[in-house]
Amino acid sequence: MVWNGRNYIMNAVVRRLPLLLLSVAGLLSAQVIHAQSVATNPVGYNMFTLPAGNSVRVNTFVQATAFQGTASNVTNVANSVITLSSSATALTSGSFNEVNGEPTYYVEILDTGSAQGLIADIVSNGTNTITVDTNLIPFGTLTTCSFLVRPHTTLSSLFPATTTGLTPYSDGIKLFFPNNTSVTYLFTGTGDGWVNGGTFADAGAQVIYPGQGFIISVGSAKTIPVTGYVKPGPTQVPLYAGAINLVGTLNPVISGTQTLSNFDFPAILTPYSEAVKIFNDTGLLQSPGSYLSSGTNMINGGTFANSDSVPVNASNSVIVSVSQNKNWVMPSFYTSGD
Amino acid sequence: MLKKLPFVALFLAVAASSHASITVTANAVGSLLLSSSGTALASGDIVRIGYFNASLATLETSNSFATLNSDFDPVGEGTDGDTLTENGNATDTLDINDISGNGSFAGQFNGITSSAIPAESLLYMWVFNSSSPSTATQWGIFYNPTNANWVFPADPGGAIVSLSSAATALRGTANGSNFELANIAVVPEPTSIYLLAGGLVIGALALRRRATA
Repeated sequence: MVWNGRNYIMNAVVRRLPLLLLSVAGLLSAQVIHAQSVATNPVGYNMFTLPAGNSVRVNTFVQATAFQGTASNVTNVANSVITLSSSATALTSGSFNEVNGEPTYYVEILDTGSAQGLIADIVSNGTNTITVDTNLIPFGTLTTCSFLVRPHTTLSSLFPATTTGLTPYSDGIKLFFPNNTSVTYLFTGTGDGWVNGGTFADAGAQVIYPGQGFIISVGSAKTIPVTGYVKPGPTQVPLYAGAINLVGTLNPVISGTQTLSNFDFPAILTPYSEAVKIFNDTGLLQSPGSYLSSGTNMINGGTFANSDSVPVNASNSVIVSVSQNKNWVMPSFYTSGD
Repeated sequence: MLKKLPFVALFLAVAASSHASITVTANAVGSLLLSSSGTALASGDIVRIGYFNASLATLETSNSFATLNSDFDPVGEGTDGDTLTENGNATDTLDINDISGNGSFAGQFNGITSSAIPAESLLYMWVFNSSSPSTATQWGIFYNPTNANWVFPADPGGAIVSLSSAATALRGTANGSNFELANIAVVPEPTSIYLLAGGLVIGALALRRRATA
């Protein structure tokens, strides 16, 4: 176990294993009543050390797995229906349904191949079927894919009303959306914990997707705890043309630092055309620079110097500008577990 | 390599659009806005957010709307390319919208032009007891120089101008956790003074003509 004042991951907390397993078992018994089999990914704990002002961050954790299984069929329609294999334990019908038109659970494809790490919101479920909001078939050969289901991370689950450190109606989180809009949500400290800053509508259920970054605004410097489950395997994160794509890795590193090369952006960015902007942790969103892909490396947008080793603080997000919609395949930062 | 430069230029152009935002609120959980007599402001009374290029002494003492208005650089109000999200109001001007009863409001300016206000300027909340600021008889001016969220943000960041964040009243007073507006001794606008003077001159000339007739 390493504690460096910023990050500490329980991936390495073998010495606390009994306590860890107890907490994992407790969480799973509360949340995973439908599971055929459930992964026991390590619990993670992180501290957001925030300067006064604006900071770019990403949640480096996910929620506990609620179900894991294999499909016997996936339909090739706009809203694919995954039929569970015959050996799967029956689901409770409707348990993964959208609530008020908003997704609450998602499917993640585990199979290796082009669809690995793909995430699709669940619309509804029956006892042996799950309907998602996406046609999964174009992403790969998925007829008998293996997959898992997790609850979405929301503003409430990430920073519940009981979060210490955040100041009600003064601190907030700004999210960016595919249609090039953004909304700032205010922490309330009561109820769902969050409201839309413009409309004051409850916003605790606002989803934060895996890899989706956000700007957190605080009036004074503070440190905020973040907990969750370490996610194994790659993750596909959508990037949208003409939008602010604020994204980050699910890298629960101990050292607190990673580099641009850890993002594996050259694999998806059009060389010399699409770019990545990083930010310092000053609270003022000062940027040391923007970086392009050369096709194999990241290079400085001004000097074209190799920039693979440019540091990016762990749990910081970056802005990726793309000219056409595509998925960034975020590398895996944890390889055991599932 | 030069063939690639147009693509780089294209990226830079796309990235140039601003996403700075300012979220503003006063509410029953934190602080409400009250008139000088302690009653909550009515729905429709105007709230302006922006930057004052004036001394604190001027903000604390001037009763001239025209003077302060000339020193005020507002966000929104149709000048900064932004969109305002606000309960029940389709205009580009923020007002009391009773988000949690009288004296409360919430609103969010999105997509503010990054050059709208000098970078990192302190933001001020200028509140009126009227839907017409120039004729208001009470106003309050609030700011918070120790809170980083009361600063005009760099793109694509956001400011959160919340009255409940221990704001300071330059005009007006704190009343518990709420804030009261100050009575303003109305100073006639220059145009009004010219009209008045003109009327007096015409009246004097008429009297003189009558006396000589």
